[in-house]
Amino acid sequence: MTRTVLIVDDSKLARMVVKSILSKTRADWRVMEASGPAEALDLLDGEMADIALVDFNMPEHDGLWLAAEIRAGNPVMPIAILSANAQDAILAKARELDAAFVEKPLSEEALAAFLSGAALKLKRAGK
Amino acid sequence: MDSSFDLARTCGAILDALDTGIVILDGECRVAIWNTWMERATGLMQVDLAGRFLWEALPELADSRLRGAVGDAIQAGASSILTHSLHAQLLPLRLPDGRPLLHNLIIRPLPVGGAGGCMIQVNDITVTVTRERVLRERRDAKYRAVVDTAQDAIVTTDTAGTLQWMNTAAERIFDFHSQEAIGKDIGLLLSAGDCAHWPRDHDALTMNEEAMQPVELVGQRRDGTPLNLELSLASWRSENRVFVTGILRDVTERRRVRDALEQAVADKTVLLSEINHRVKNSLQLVSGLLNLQMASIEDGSAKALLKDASDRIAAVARVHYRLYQSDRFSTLDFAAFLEELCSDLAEASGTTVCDLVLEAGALEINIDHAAPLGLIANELITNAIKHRDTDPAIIRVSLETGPGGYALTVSDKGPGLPPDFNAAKSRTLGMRIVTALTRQLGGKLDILPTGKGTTFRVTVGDNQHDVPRQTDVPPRITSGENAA
Amino acid sequence: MNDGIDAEDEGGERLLTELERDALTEVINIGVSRAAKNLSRMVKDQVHLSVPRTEIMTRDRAVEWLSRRENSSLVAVGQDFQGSFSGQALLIFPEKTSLELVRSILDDTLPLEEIVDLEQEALAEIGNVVLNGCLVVMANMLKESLNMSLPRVMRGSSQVVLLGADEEDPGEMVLFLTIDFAVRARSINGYIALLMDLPSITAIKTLIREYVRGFEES
Repeated sequence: MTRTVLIVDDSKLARMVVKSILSKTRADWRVMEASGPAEALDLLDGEMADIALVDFNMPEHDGLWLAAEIRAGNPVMPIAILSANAQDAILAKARELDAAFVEKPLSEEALAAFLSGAALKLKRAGK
Repeated sequence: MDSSFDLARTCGAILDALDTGIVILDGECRVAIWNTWMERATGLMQVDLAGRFLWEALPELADSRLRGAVGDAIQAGASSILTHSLHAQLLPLRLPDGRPLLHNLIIRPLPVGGAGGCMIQVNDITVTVTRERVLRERRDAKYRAVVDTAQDAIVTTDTAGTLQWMNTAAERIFDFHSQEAIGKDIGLLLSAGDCAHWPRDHDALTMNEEAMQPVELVGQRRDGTPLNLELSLASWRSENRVFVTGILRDVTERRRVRDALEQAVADKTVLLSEINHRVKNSLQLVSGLLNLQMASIEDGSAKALLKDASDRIAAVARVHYRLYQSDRFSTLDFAAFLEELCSDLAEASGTTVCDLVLEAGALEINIDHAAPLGLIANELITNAIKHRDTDPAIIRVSLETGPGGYALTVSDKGPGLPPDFNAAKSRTLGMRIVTALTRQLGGKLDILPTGKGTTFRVTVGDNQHDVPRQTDVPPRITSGENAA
Repeated sequence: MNDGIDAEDEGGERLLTELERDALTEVINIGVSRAAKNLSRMVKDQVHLSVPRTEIMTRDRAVEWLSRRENSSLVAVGQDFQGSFSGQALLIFPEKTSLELVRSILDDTLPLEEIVDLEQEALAEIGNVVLNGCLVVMANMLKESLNMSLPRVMRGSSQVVLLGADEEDPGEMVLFLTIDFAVRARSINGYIALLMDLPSITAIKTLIREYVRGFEES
């Protein structure tokens, strides 16, 4: 079934990369874009999203902050943190928030694997 | 002759003769070369390793920085160095005697069999590290003898003011372990106000040590207590970097002694001043007693004598009063004294009785001369008033100073002296007082010829007129220290 | 982090489109993050590297720009790279922070005298990790192979560090990245400078354009 994915990254190119992979692997899914945490939260206020892909390295608030905010309002939504900086501390915090971690630069396989897992999780939760 | 065969053989021989470890991996991280040096250092043979994945042969390396560096070399052509300083033990290498072999690794891309690959070069730095340690210890031992036993704090910073090193005395004086202080700013040890005395940046680079005198400043211990320190600075170079070393001597004790001394002197000043005050009081008391005595005497001439005595005592009291007023006790501003004396005598006699004109240049008189000269002035002026023949008496008092000494002149327009008057032979008390005191001063009494009236002049020469150097500080302290 | 590149050469012409600038920044960020990951494994503690600013300017202006920000002596680790784009990569720190950086990375149990002895070597390796992080990611993402030299350590003013011993054409371009290093609760500022000649900049431009196009078309 068709899902809506929210992409949050201050780099336009990074968003393009994700969109490009999505169009190859999940062409029927809808995409929402935000260039920062504030914009992302605004969007989520207005519209529903099923899955969130959040860049870690953003000005003002990092991806983990945004993930925590989203998680607070939605305990089930699959969230992935995207970053090249796969340090233990960040991985651990992501795990605490029940968020996945996908390393940058993004490969099709890695992102596709996460999206499959996310779709499965949503189905099981009856969404 | 097949030259390519010889070349391969020769290269192989070179690799095995090198005093460096060489490992060559192909694009899949399989071992292609593992030279003799590596065999000796690891105990693993090339024959056993050839063709195997390095990470499988040495599993402890599977998740190491080495693996990342090899990957970077093969995939992206990046060269890396892995140094002993940042990695305790990269490869499991041993020296022949069993000690660990300390090493650096250099990884370079190298095409192998037409595809990507890399070369790992292993450098034995055990000797260098050990030698450096030995050299450092030897050098340090020389200085340690001086530096560790020094009582003074010795501290080194770089040009930015970041602490690099401090000796045991410094640890003790400032109450910091050197490990805690190193890396922090020198301001940790100096008071905020005096931090600027430690040179930084440009000042540190251009320090002129000949011109630099030790400077006293306030430092601070760990708990903030201030320390009085004397700082001597030097700068030096090492490997293109400039460092600043300072010796900080605790002068708290010296300062304390100096402060105590200054306090003692100040106390003495107050004391001497008080003494003048009390002497004046005592003399006034005596004078007062005489006045009382006077009141109970009927005899007019006896009364007059007592009055004279009382006035003379008052004149001396006035000297001490002036000394007390001026906070001095080695010299007296005689001009000011004369002014007061004249105005007091004029007032006492009444304005109709005398008309006193005073001309006095500034004159500081040694305290031993002040009282005698004061009494002389008192006598001469009182005399002039007493022996006037007009109302008011016209009296001129002048005090002149010159390079030769000074002269006090009292002249009046009275009846004048009898023609055969000889001051030295005079029997009057007043005259005897004046001649005796003049002699005591080492001066000369002259009677100057005038048209009408009398002029007395007392001259004191410079060799008799011993005025100490004009200062506002108390007399020298003779305790062996450098006198002020 | 996308603070934008001021990408105008002296003629006022835009060197890169906005999207291309974005792409370059993203590539650099990924490279720098990867370097942070590597450093954090060495340090066994968190390391954060972020790139708040990116600028392109001529070498002359770069010397001026750097002198204005850092008026004390500098330490730099440099590596040459060669391939379809060539140049020099520099990791630059004010000298006073370099010892601090090394101390924060070195094993705390080492005696201080040894740390000072090892400072030069350790700096070279730290520089190597950071610069390789950037360059390797750039090479991989742009599908290029570069040949990179070993690091060397230099000290001096911004003039010495950026212009070096030989007076090459000071008109060469410099890609200047201001980086913030946060290691073991210490925050250290430094810079990464990529010095390239115009042909190399053009080559990178082409590579980036192709990279971007790869995503635009899908």
